[in-house]
Amino acid sequence: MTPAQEIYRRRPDVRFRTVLDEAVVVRIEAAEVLVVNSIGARILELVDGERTLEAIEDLLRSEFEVEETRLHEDLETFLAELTAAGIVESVAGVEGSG
Amino acid sequence: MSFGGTVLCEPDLFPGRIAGEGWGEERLLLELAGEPLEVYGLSPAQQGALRQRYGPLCRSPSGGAAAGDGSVLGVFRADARDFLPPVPGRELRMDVLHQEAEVRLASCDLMALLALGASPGGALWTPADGDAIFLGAFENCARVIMAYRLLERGGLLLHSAGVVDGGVAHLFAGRSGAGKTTLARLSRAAGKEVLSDDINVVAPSSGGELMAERLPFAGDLGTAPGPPRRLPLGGVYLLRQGPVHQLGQIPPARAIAGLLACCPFVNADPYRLDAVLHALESLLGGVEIRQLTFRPDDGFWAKLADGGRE
Repeated sequence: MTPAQEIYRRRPDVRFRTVLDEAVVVRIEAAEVLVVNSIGARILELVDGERTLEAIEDLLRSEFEVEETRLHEDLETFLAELTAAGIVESVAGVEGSG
Repeated sequence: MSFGGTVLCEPDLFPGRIAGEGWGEERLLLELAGEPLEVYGLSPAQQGALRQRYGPLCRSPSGGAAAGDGSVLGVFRADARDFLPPVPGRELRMDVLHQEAEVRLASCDLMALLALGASPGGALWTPADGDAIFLGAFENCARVIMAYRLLERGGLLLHSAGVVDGGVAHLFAGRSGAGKTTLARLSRAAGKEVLSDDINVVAPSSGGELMAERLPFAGDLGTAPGPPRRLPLGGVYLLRQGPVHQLGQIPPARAIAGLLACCPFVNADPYRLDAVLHALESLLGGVEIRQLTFRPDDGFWAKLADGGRE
């Protein structure tokens, strides 16, 4: 699977709520709360266990004015950070370990 | 560590249903922030202790098993040998297990099972008769009951200092160490009425107005239970201590994130977190939430009065 075809989803103990142009993200098991900006909130909405990274990138490109290469890099970086923080997980990674 | 493992000798034997041997035949009806809580199975000593502790809020039940649309709590005997002795130096904590239809509590002197939903009821198993340990166990259980009952009508328990100024209540929210008791003490010394320095209710009235209400749960300031006190909510402030008094704006999502940490019990419940976030968003829609930095003198009231201007 190429990175573009990778699929992510929010972990089961994660809840988030969009408030104006930011979102509150809660990791229940870790009792952690953080706030992400509008693009971060939109990415969290789109990371649904079904869309590929490529599909998410296409949607973001149509919704936000951002340079293509930068969007690609920022998306990968952001998802790596969310993964490290225990907020999202790669579907392939979870199913592969199951 | 599984639920109850640090406080119960046999966590697997935690009672699975609301039943047991009552301490006695006495009953009592408590009115907590507009929420009736009928308590049964009390010994005369336990009933006396509750009456002494919660005096103005106590009523005699009218009979029957249910307290109208309120909650019903049975008090049952537990064997002191069911509980592990406290470990010296280790902070006493209450273990909470959230489930879709119920909440389980366990600490060094109580087990409790709280059924949620349309017919809220619960059981408190305690080895303590009408002494301070019993009162502590009851209060710990009642706090959780209140948190869930309030949430059902869009309200919240908020770890906060509540102070009355100009006929409205101001809630200064923060976790332990944020300065709630210091701020409450300074406010009281300045002649203002303190609702509580630890925990207060914020909930919409039947007309939709946001109200703050005192609960009879003492904080470090030792606020005595008085008659019900309910006031319009004038403001909510996320509290922190600093070198100068400062009142600042805070973006909505950050305000919700800050307040979420101050909503005990329900903020860790995966089945009800969406409801908590919804209640906080409603709170944000009804009152401005700001960040108050204060130093230990009462000059912050002048800062609040001028809206944060220099």
